[in-house]
Amino acid sequence: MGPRRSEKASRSALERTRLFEDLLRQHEDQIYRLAYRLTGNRDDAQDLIQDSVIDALVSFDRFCIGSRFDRWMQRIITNNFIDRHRARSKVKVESLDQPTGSEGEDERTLEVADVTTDPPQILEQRALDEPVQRALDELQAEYRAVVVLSDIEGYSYQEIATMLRVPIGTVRSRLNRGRNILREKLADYARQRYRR
Amino acid sequence: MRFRPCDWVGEHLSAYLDEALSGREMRQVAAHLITCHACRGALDDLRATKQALQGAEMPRPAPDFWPEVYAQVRQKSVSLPAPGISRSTWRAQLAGVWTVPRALATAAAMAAMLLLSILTRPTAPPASAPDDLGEFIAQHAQHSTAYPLSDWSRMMFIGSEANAPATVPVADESGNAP
Ligand SMILES: [Zn+2]
Repeated sequence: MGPRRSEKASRSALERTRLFEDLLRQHEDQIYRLAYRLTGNRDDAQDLIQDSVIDALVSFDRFCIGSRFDRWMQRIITNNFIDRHRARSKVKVESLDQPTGSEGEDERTLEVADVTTDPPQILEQRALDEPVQRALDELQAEYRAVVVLSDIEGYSYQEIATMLRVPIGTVRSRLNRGRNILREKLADYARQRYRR
Repeated sequence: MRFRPCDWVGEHLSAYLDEALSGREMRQVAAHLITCHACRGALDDLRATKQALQGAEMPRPAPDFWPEVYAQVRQKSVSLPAPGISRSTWRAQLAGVWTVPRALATAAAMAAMLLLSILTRPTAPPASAPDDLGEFIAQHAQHSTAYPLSDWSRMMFIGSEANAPATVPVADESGNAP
């Protein structure tokens, strides 16, 4: 009885891992896109995903099979991102007066210099998206999350409200505020490309 | 040039863009937009901004990123409780206070049963040997139910020499005395 039972348990554990991996594989692109647009760079995006994937795996038994895995995963990523940002912004307050710009510039220059080894597609994409991502980076985490979920990931107000556990009116006002900040920052860029 | 929308409309432009206002509010904003240049300009910029976001390209991680994630998943899976096992049971299992003792307990229980069956096994016919075979068989059945593991010895008893006297009375009853 004992050995058969544990054999059965380890087989269902294998099945679970298998299922989890397959679902993850199915949605790699959306998962990475969300993490990248939230964090604004590759390293932080990858960190955020790694942590979130483990969180998801640990609570995978509570995931309702047949419901949307991508949305479940994106929910975990978004909430982890907001939590991290809250923790980080407490530290940030102390160093607000110090010029952090130059550090960021260096990093950006380094990244651009490194670009020559990347496939041409990525080089082009970076040039295209730079202003959008830089504008997003300047938004507060709560606004950024709502804007990215709505305008990049295509979630409805109700879905975002459920995801972030906030009233739908909060989603509406955060989206309005976030988009209007972006509008001011991106006006020239967006007008040039998208305004008829 | 930056447009500064009017207060009330400015707060609703984003939802207007998504058609996420009530019918009445949609009409109110639309009516205002006909006459207000600033709000119209802000709406157009807002729309262009939304389109810029929607048109953002699919970013790509480092090529070895996902393989690393899957390796991590497999590594972590090993330390997770098997599906359907409660966390406390799993913790007990991990702490080793469940699996090993359970095996030991099973072995101990089997040993105890064996010992019990030996101790309770009738070494001779029941103190008051039944006089007829029917009653003996009934008693045997009863005993076997109570002590299933002793059944084998009972069967041996039935077929043994010691059992012979029990059949004698039957022969006696038939009137063929030895
Ligand atoms: Zn106006």
